Amino acid sequence: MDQKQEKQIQEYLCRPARYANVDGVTEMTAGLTWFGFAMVAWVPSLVSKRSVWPVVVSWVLLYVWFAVLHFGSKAFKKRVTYPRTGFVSYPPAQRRRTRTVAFFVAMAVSAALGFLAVRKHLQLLQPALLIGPCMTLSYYWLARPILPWKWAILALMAAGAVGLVFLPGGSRTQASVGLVFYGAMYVVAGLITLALYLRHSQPAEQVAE
Amino acid sequence: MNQQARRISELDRVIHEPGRLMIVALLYAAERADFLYLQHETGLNKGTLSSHLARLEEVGYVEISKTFRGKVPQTMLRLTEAGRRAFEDYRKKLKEAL
Repeated sequence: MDQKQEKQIQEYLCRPARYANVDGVTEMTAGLTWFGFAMVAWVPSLVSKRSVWPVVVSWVLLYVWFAVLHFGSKAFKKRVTYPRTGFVSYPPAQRRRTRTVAFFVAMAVSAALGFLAVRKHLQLLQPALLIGPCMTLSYYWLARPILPWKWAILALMAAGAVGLVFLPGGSRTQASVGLVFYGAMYVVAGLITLALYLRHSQPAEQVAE
Repeated sequence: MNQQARRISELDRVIHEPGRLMIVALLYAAERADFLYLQHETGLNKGTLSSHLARLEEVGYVEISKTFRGKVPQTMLRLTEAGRRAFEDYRKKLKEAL
């Protein structure tokens, strides 16, 4: 008996949380969420700036999009993931804690972006400078364990963070392009995870347990 | 050394078995899980997993319920409060013994 046993227990304790992204659905949902935010940033720029309705409509569409992603990912898990590798539900306390952390992170990022939008004459602080590192770090956190091919995705994301800083067209363009770029990276990573998952798992035999 | 041996002997024998330790740790981090998930994560065969679960149910650490997912039978598993306390106690004693 040694420290290895405690390490092994820690590893077992991490597994149910990691299982949430075993099929790549979490990565894909996150990527499609970034597309939704890109839409909110992009739609109002296409229409009259004096009208508030495009902004309202784009936010309504965003919530519809979130609902589609939420129920779509649930339906996918129910039909594909659970019959193949089983069902897990997480403790309410853990769910609340994760949501609370996600909420405060989103609030902090939004507040920072809002601050930058108001003070955009401060060229030192551009949204792109925040979006790149935030998206890259959140991918690192979301996609654990980081398999070798995921390091390539992370490297591309880090390169994208640098590229965004030099992108011409102002902060709105940088934010929109950044969200689309990272959304696409998340979706591609999710699709690779899903393909590998489907390849290595089979629907279970329906016999008594 | 003598004290360490005594502490090791105090460890919960039901949880200390490697297969059951894996099951209890996985269920500790989840609210509920089904038989298929545990089989997939532990790599144990159905017979071995069933016998470990029966032992854990016998001592009151795991609650087993049978449901249906559509027409497919599903065995749902949950760690009881006694099971959670026993696992926490086991880890505490294990750390002391190291």
